[in-house]
Amino acid sequence: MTKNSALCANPIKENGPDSLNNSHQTLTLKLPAYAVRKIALWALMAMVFFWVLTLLPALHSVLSILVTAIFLSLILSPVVDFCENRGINRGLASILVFAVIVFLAIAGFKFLAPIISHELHEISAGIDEQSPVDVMQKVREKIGDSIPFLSSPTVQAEITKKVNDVLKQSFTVVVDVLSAVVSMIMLAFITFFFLKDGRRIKKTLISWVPNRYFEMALIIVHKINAQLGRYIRGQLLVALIVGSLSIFALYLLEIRYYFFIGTLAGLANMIPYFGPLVGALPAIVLAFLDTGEFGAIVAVIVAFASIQLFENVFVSPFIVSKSVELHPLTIIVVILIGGHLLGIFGMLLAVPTASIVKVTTQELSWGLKSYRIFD
Amino acid sequence: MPGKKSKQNNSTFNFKVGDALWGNVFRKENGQEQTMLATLRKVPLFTEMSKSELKEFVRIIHRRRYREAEIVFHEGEPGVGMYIVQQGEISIFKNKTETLREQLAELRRGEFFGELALLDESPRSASAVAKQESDILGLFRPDLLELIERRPRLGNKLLFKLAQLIGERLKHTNEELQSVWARLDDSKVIT
Repeated sequence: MTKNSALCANPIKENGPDSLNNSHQTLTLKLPAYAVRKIALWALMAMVFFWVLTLLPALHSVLSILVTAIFLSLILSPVVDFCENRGINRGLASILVFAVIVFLAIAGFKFLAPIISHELHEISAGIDEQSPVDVMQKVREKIGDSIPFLSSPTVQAEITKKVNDVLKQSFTVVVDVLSAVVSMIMLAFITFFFLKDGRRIKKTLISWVPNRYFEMALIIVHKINAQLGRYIRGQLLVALIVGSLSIFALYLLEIRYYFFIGTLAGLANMIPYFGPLVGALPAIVLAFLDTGEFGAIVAVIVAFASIQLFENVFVSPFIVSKSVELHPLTIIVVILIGGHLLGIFGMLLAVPTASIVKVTTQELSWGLKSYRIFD
Repeated sequence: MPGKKSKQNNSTFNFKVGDALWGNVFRKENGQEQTMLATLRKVPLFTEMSKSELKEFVRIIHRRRYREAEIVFHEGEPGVGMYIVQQGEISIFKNKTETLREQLAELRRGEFFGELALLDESPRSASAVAKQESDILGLFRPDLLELIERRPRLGNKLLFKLAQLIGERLKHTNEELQSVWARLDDSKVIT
């Protein structure tokens, strides 16, 4: 294959030195058949990729449920496997796992309810005392004192407009809550079936692959499954550690709503680079609003930076699989694309999706060579 | 009551269509499972396994149909797993030159090949081609590794049988090699 390409890549070499003397002879680049097939395949893949990209926003809600169900089943499958190893039927094991989750959710809610209601009460009391516009006015004044150029009329108008937009959107909350409940029920059902029949679904999908590509497809599917499972479970564990540390740090710094902000920081941490910033921002704003001192902001920043350092040095390298490592530039670009297409959800899915593409491309390239598909 | 009857028929029809659709997509037909179990029972690797253990293997085994003269795998390709002939005939051969191939074996129902690929990803040492339309069952390394994680005792049972089988073959090869050396000594080709 290499020999052919070397011969055909340079047409002058192929025609010999005589062709150089003949000035009237036109040089034509003859591509070998396998190269034409390769180009056609890549073109087709690019077309399918862009077609899927254009469809994504329209299928947003369905895709969100489906993809979340896949991710949840990947997270929960080791637990179901564990039950299955103990001789429990897979269907029953899936039901058991779901029952435990519901029980934990109810128990967790009962345990957290006092904290949540207390914090919600404080938030609502704050809103009663001052409307969101007043709060923003306070923020604006404080920022205006420290950073004068931000208090220009244009910025003020923009802030007021944004606050009004938020208030208008709050009317749709009821509808959103209802659709969220329906989505949750659907999500539970789909996750259950993925857990119970996941292996069978995977086997059926592989059975549709033609014999020539079958072994290659089998390896690719298994590698994607293993890497994605490891990555998601690892990320979740990292989020739990970062969330707990953030809650503890904010509690020590006496930041209000430390529980919510810490939880948010843990969840946001699943989005590389942008996540830690998004997680730290509410804490910084609250520290600033409460004290009006830059010292408090510095303390929060130092706390979050220390948690990030600890996470990057001691936690992630041991928990999150190294094999899905992507170049930082790639990560930033895919997160931006994900955010543009599907919002926060897209940002969360960006890195796992990019790692799927990376593993698929690597394995496909390895498979095409090893199995001599184009020979 | 023709109306009621037709309604009943309709619901039966719908149920059957739904069931068949679900069955085709996600469930293996019972008959097919029985045939697979019967084939596995003939394979030395699975002879000491119970029905429930064999069923566990049926769940991870892939059934493939090959046309006459269709290649199952080429020599030199990375090995992913072993195949068991369920129906038809498979020929194993090695390419001597570009045009000359040497047939090593012809495998029929219950016989298996490519089992070393269950242990590592080393390239296939020979090619396999279907001599006629054949159904073969594939047991692959990633599925086996998953099974070992899920049910270590069952996985080890298979690996132990595989080790025994390879050991027997090694012993047989050693004996053959010794007899070849002895014949060479007798004929004084090597001094």
